[in-house]
Amino acid sequence: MKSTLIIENVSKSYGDFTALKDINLTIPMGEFTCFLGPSGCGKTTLLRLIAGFEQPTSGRILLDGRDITALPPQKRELGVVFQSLALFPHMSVSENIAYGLRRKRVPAAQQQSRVEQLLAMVRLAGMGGRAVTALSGGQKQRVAIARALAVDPKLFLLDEPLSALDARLRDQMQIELRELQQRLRITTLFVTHDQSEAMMLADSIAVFSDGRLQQFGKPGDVYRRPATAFVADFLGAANLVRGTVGANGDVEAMGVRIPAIAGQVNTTLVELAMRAEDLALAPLEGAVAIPGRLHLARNLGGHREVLVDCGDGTVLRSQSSLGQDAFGAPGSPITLYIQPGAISVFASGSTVS
Amino acid sequence: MMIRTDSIAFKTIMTVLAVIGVAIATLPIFAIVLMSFSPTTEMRFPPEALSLHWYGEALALFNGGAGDASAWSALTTSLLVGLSVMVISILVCVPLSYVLMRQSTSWNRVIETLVTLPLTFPLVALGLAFLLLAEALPFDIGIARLVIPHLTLAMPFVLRNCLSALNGIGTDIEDAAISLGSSPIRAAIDVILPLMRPGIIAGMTFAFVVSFNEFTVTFFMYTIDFSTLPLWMYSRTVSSLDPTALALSSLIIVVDIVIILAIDRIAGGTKNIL
Repeated sequence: MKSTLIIENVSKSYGDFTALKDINLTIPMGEFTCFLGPSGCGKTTLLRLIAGFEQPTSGRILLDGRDITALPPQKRELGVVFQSLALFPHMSVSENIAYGLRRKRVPAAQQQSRVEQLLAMVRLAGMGGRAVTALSGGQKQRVAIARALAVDPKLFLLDEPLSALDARLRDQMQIELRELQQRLRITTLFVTHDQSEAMMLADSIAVFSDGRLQQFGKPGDVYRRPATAFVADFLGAANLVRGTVGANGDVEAMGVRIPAIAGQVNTTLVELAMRAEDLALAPLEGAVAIPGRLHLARNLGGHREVLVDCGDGTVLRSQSSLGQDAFGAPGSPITLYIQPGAISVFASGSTVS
Repeated sequence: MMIRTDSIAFKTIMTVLAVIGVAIATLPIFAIVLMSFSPTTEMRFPPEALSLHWYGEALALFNGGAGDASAWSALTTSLLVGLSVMVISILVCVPLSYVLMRQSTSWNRVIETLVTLPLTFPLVALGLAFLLLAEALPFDIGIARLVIPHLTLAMPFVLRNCLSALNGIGTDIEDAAISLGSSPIRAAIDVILPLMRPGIIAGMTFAFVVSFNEFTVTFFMYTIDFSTLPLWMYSRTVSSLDPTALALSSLIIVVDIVIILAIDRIAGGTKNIL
């Protein structure tokens, strides 16, 4: 089922603590949206508000045009997968999956065929009679997903469901989950603190920090054109350096004058964000040259990482997949090259770190 | 310094301590059971011969019209009071523990402490207090004279068991049931109650055993119509020791052990028992 969700001016406070501040968000219909941010940023709180487990302090939540802000959670018809999974340990796999159907008073024969269908969908066919306590981590995950999807929910909500799995299993579940969502085309919200998980799964990413929505957009856009220094830093660990704005929008940083990149930023002090993979070791047409001294070079298998000391205490991280000749000893001169267009400029003070 | 648990000295000390502990716990029961097989009325320890004579006497007490009416009445009162205490304390403590666990207010600790407090009172003072209260009432409350004081003594155990049973049950599991279409009450019945079952069963056992064995407070509260088995047994032995009471005690011990083993099996060997 495809549904649209609109979050309008939603704030949530617990006493003096503001968990969410004035969130406005329109979740695209039938898409996979990730809420991304560090712990305590408000992403799980927003999910709980959408699910109805908690009430916003102010603002409205609209599902398919209908105001559901005051609707109790049992009437919202949403499928929720919890971080703890919250399977019912005293019920079998089938009974867990059928729980929502039983509450909806679906006839027993229909319940059974629906459960079989879901078991096949999450690749647990023939395991309906097992006790959920006897399952492996990945199998429990699948039961939780099947249970949430059994009732044809309007929204599919997942709160860091994969965080307890080991890296290999997590990767496999990510792929399965993405395939499942694309097949069902169900509007999905997925909370995670893992930026690579968000990049891998999502059609859209909403980045949160300190209870505020930092940026909302396609993964590529959020990565390439971060709206704030926080987003630049949180997604793919950018190099963040301070700079000062001079004439013509030129920026002075790392002992180098970078022409006309200040753009709309109108403060004197700025922060620059540069992706490690945008800092090249070979000269490029139109690139800015940043001289420095070699701090450390290391081979990470698929790519090579070079740390360069720019003299003023800044250490830049450069990554390239190119096979590189032997480097000089630490301390020997080295130059990094970057296209001015690959540098993001933010008014200073917009980072939290 | 680490204690070497494999040293001979350590093993010896632990064995001696274990033997002393087990002896203190079981010696009285052992003595009663042994003496109940004595063929004579003289309480000489150890008995010179073994006989089932007093068991016959004990069973004859409850043998319909031929038996002792007061013993039969005491047994039925004990059972009735015990079962009432068991049912009422569970009906009160399950919802109470749920509220205490889920809604954290500044009253939580006060309520918990008040319910548990009677455990620390001298039983004689408690008996006196209940007697004064009961006599102040303008009407007769019948068997509730015994049920209410027994509830006071049983509730701390029942509440503790319910609280510890709830302790391991997260709110996610309820939220999961609710998001699948259950009302909060429905979710509690479907999910919380089944998971609390071991604690509830342990609490019920405690309630019954506490009530069935209670003596001191009951001693203040009993009437001609409502007296309990421990009081009846006391009245039989207070002037001259009647071995029938010993045989009866042994039978009660056997029943207790059967109940505890059965409960332990149903509850699945949980650690909720206080």
